[in-house]
Amino acid sequence: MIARMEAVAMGQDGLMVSLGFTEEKVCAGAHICQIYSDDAERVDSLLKFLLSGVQTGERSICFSENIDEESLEAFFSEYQISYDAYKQKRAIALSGTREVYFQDDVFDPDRMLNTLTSYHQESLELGFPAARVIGDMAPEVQTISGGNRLLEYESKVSMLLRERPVTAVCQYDARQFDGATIMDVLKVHPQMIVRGTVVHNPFFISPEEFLNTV
Amino acid sequence: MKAKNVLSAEILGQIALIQGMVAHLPDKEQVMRFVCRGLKDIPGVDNIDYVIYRDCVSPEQANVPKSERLHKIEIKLEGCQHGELIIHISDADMFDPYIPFLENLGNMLAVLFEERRQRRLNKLILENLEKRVYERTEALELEIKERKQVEEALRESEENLRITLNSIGDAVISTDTAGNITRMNMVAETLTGWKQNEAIGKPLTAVFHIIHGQTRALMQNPVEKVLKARKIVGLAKHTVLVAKDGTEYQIADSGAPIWDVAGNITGVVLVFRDVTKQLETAHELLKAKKLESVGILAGGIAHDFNNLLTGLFGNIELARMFLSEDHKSYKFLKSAEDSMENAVNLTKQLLTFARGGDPIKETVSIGEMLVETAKFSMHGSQAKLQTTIAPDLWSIRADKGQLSQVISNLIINAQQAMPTGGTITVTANNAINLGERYVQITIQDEGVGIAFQHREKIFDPYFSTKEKGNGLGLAMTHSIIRKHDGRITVDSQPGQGSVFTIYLPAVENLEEEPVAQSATENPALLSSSARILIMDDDKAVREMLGKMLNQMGYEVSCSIDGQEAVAKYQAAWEKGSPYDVVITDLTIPGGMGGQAAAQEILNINPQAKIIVSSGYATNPILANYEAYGFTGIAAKPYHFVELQKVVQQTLSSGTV
Repeated sequence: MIARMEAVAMGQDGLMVSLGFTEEKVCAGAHICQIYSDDAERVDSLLKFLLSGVQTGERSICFSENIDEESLEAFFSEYQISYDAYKQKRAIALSGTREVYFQDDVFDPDRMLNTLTSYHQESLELGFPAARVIGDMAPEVQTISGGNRLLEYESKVSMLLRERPVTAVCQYDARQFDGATIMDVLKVHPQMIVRGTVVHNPFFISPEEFLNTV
Repeated sequence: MKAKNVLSAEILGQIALIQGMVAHLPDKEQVMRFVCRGLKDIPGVDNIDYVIYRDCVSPEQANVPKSERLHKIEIKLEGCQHGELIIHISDADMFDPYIPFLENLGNMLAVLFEERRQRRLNKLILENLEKRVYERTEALELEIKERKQVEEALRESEENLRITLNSIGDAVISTDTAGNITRMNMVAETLTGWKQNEAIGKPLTAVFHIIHGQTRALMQNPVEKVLKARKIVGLAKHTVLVAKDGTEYQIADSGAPIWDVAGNITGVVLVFRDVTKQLETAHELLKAKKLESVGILAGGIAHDFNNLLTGLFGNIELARMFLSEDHKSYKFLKSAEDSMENAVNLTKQLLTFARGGDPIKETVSIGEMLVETAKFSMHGSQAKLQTTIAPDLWSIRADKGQLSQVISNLIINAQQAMPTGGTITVTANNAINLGERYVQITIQDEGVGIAFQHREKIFDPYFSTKEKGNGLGLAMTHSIIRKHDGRITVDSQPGQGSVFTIYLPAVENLEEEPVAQSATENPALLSSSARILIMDDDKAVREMLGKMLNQMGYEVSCSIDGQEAVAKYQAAWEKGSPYDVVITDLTIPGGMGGQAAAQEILNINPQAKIIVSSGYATNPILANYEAYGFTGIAAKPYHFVELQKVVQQTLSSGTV
C-alpha cells in the first residue's frame, strides 16, 4: 500500500479521483480553488466531497465552520453510510477552520503545511489508498496575524501536493473576500471550479514564480 | 519580445474566466477590483482604474489619473451607464487587439450590473408593493370588520324592527315612493289576507284595497295622499278594507312619510287597525243611550198609564163579570176589555226599553214556544213556515213573554219582507262557541233583504223603512236579547233575503228542569177566605183592587203608604189575627215604599206573605222579587184571573 501511495505521490500511476460534486475526475493530489457565493453550494460541495471520499476508500478531512457532525451523519445516512463507523476507523474527520488554521490567533503557513504532511503520512500508515482535504477558508484570514501569507501558503501547498498527493479543495466565499484578493487567490491555484466544472486556471502562477515575487 | 497584433490564448482565457467568475462577487466595487486585478497582465497595459456610476449617474469627481494614452471601456446598457474601465496603455499595438474582448467584457459587466440593478429595483418595487398590499390588506380587514359590525348592527336593528312590528297590535305596511310594498307586519298580513313574501314589491293598491263603507266607492291611494301632503294624514271615516278573501274590515289608519337623514322622502308607512268591533261597540253604546232615553220616558209614562189602566181595566172587567153574556152591554164591555188589552201590550213594549226593564227569567225549554209563536204570528200570511228544532235543545234562562215577543217581531218582519210570499225558516240548535254553550235560533226569509246602508241602523229605536212602522220592533228585539245576555246578528244582501241569528246562553246545570207549563185553571171557580192588606197611594187602584179581592171572597183592608201598612200589620199581629197576605205597591211618592214596608213587616213576622205590585214594571225588584223578601208578584194593571191566581198561589205557598 505504501508503495502505491508513493507511486501516487510520484504521480506515476495517474490515479484519478472524483470530487463528488463535479462531473470530471481529477488527478489525485490536485489543488483546486472553489469560489462560491451561495451557502447551499458550499455545503453541497462539502458533503459530496466527503461522501465521495469515503465511498472510494480515501481518507477524508474537512476544515469548516459551516458544517457539523449531525448534518454530515444525516447526509451519509441517506446513502446507508454510517458516519460514526468511518469516524471510528479514522477514515473521516471534521474540524473547525479557525481551530486548525488560526491556532493562537495566528495563521502560520508552515504549521499548516506540516499538518498536511502529517495527515498524508498518517493516511499512508493507516493504509488508506489516498487522502483528501477540503478547507473552507474563514474571512478573518484577511485581518489576522500571518494572514498576509495566505497566498504564500496556497502556493506552497501546490508544491507540497506534488510530493504528498492529497487531493485538496480550497473554498473561498466571494461575498466575504475582497475582489482583488479573490483574483490573487485564483493565481495560486492550478485548477478551479467554474460553474460546476473543473478547469485549468489561466491565472495560475507556478509556485516557484510566485514565491520569487513574494 | 512580445509580438505585435498577436492575441495570447492565455490572456483570452483569463478574460473568459473573469466573465465566468464575476457573478460570484457581491457588488460593483468588488467586481471592478476583481476585474482590474485580473486584466492588468494584458499586454500593453500599464495600469487599470475604474469609475463606478451609482444609479447610472457619473460621479462628480472621478478620481482618474490623467494620462495621454487611455482607453475607456464603458460599462453601459441601453443608456444606463454603470461605470468605466480606464485602461492606461503603455503599448497600443500590443493592447489594441484585446479591445473587442474587453468591450465584450464591458458589455457583459453592464448586463450583470443592470440585471442586479433591475433586481434591486424589482425588489424595492416588490417590497413597496408588498408593503402596500399589507397596508391595504390591513385596511380591508378593518373595513370588513367594520362592515361586519355595521351589518350585524343592521341585522340586529332589522330583527328588532321586525319583532317590534310583529309585537304591536296595529297593522303596518311600508312602501317606497313608487307605492310598492317594502315591508308588512303580521297584523297587516291577517287583515289584508296577503303574506309578506307575496306582497313585497306589489303596488299597495293591489294589497290594500279600500273602499268607502257607505258609497262602496274606491278610496284614494293613501301613499299618493301622503306624498302630496308630505305629512301625516288620516283616512276618511267609513273606510273599509277588503281583504284578499273578500272579508271586509272597518279600519282606522294614518299614513306618514318616511324621511332619510338628508330630508328626502324615501317611502310611506301606513298604520291601521280593525275597528269593526270598536265601531260596533260604540254603536251599541249609542243605541243603549238612545234606548235609555226612550226607556226613561217610557217608564214614566208606563207607570202612570198603568195606574190609570188598572182602574179602568179592573172596573170594566168587574162590570162585565156581573153581567150575563146575553146582556146588551156585555159585548161592549168585552170589546173595551180587548182594547184595554192592546193598551196593556203597548205599555209592556214601552216598558221593555225602560231603564232596568230586566226580564223575569225562568229556566225554560223554548222549542215548543218557538213553534207556537211562529205559527201564531203567521196567521193571515201568504208565506210558508218551516221549523226545525233540535230535539235535545238545551234549556235557557229566559222571560218567555219577552222572548215570544222577539220571535213574533222577527216573523212579522220576515212576512213583510216577502209581500208576494215565500218561505220563512225557523231553526233552533245547540251551539258551542269558545267553550260557551248557546242555543242558536235563526229566522230566515227570502225577501227583499236589507240595504247595506240600513244594516247598521235597523236596531235603532224609531228607525223604520216601512211606511207605517213605529221603529220599535227590532229595537225592542235587540234590547230583550241583550238583557238575556244574548246576541243577535243579521246577515243580509239586497234581493237575497235576510237571516237573523240569536244566541242565548244555555243553562249550565243540565239537571235544572224547565218550569212546567201552568195548568189552565178557571180562577172564577176558586174562592177562599183570607184577610188581605192592600197598600197603594192611588185611591182608584186601592178601590178597584179591593173590589176585585172582595169579589174573590177575601176580606180587605187598605193603607195609603208604608207607614200605615206597617202599623196596621203590627196591630193585627199583636191582636193575634195577622193578615194572610199583603199586596203592596213599590213606589209611594213622599212616603215609605213597598220595599221598606215589606222589610218592616218581615221584621214583625218573618213568615209574612207579601205580594209586590207595581205599574212601574221596569223596577229590577220585580225581576228578582224573592231576593227582596216578596212571595209573589202582581203587575199592574191587574187582570182578575191573573190576580186571583197569584193570591191563591201565595196563600197556598206555606202557612203563616
